[in-house]
Amino acid sequence: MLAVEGLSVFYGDLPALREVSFEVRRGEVVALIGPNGAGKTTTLKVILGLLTPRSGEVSFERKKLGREPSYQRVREGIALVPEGRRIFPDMTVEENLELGAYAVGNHREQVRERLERVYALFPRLYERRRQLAGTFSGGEQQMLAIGRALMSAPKLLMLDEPSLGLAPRVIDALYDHLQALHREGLTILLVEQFVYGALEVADRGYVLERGTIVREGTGSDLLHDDYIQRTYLAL
Amino acid sequence: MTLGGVYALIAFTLSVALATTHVLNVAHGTLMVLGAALATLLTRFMGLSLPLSVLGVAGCFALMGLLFDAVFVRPILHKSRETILITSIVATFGLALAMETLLGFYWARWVDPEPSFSLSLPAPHIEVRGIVLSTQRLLIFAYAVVAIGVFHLVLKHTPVGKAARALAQDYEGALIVGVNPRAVSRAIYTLGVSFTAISGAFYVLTVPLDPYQGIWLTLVALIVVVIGGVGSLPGALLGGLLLGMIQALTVFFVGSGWSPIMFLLVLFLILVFRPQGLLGGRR
Ligand SMILES: Nc1ncnc2c1ncn2[C@@H]1O[C@H](COP(=O)(O)OP(=O)(O)O)[C@@H](O)[C@H]1O
Ligand SMILES: [Mg+2]
Repeated sequence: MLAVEGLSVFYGDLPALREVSFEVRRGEVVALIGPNGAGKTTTLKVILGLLTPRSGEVSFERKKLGREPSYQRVREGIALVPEGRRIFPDMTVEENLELGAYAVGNHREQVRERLERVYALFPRLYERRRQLAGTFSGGEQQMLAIGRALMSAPKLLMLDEPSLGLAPRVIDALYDHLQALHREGLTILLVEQFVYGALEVADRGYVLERGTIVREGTGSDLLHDDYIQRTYLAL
Repeated sequence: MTLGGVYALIAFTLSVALATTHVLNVAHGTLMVLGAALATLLTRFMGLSLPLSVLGVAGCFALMGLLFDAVFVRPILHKSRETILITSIVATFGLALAMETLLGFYWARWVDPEPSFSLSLPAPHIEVRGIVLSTQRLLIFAYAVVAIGVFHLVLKHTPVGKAARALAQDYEGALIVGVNPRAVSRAIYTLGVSFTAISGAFYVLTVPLDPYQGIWLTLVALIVVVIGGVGSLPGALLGGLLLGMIQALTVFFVGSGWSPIMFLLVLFLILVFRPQGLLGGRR
């Protein structure tokens, strides 16, 4: 479904990604893990078209995306739950969610239907739909960011460190939600520093270090890999 | 009180543009002067009726807004807030100077050697239950309320308005949900510049303008925006009313020469004690 080939990205003269290649197949959960500053966020931004790579190519559903702008990519079915959530603080929960459907057309019926589905998944958002999003706790903001991404009815959902700053109990709930979405057939690209949780739900995973992919394999292979255990799981 | 309507009208499009695109348009007041000039040309020298010439101004300046967006906004839209602010101040300051020089020169040469823009109404006063009211000022106040109402509804309830607010609150967040910032800024400036020019035409119903008053108008607008809070349209209305009252009181008690000083004093007090403005949100 998604293929990234030979991606190189620079911030000024500093390389952030060097010849990164990987793929996500339909229906998979793929984890992209690695330490701070490895280039994970950069990778997701390039996939959504927020950054232009120096070289390399992103293809979605066999189509090369080239320099296509973000709003076009959202329309074609890519959604991102960004690092830092980036919800709209001075808007209500419902306005935030409606904006999630902004790029894909604004047929009232359809937006209604999707709202109901998001509310069914996160009843807490329904209870607080008239509240300003800026007043929310970290966990609630994360739910809202996920709900907002789902409003575009994406084929591929990308999440950038969704567990960051959340209490363990909230992380468990979050991962339950992700697995539920996966069972419904959603394809997920999951960026995490919470390596254990991510590899547990992932079908496959890639390890990114200093802008290059150093390991890849199935979720359970990587969980049992010596190098991963030493470096990331501290066993 | 109606002076407040005039001040609100000077400020509100500046406020919207600043809040949604972070562009500070120093040429704002000069665009008002140009609107007033075109309205004067159409009514006084070409004999069009007032409503028709207002429509003419709206059309011409909608095009001007498109051009303004393409030249002054689009190239810097993706930059950081601070860069946008500084670049736009410098660029539009140049634009303001260029426009007022050209206007002053060619108006004096082709139309009237002593440029002054003003419009008049057929019936300057009406009487309601023995009280004489100025039609111009009533009309201006009504226009200010309606125009601000229209902008408020557009921003609150239309897709493009919601996208504009999203861009103002979190630029990258808006890109992520699939907002096309170019389309939004095009809409904001087409509508905004058009309304700015109409506001100029309404303004000269009460006080005539000359070609070189644009930057002063921008300054007054900025004071109103700071008083009311950037991006808050009810704030622009309130700030306008407040400034109108201050001016009326200053003129009554100390003399009209003091009003710029009073304005700056109010600006200073607000910046010190309530930097987000009276009705501005957090931040
Ligand atoms: N806007 C930016 N400007 C300059 N350098 C950046 C920028 N964003 C990220 N970087 C650098 O690029 C590298 C990769 O960053 P990032 O993709 O955010 O990593 P990760 O998400 O894995 O923590 C880091 O060295 C970071 O310092
Ligand atoms: Mg990151």
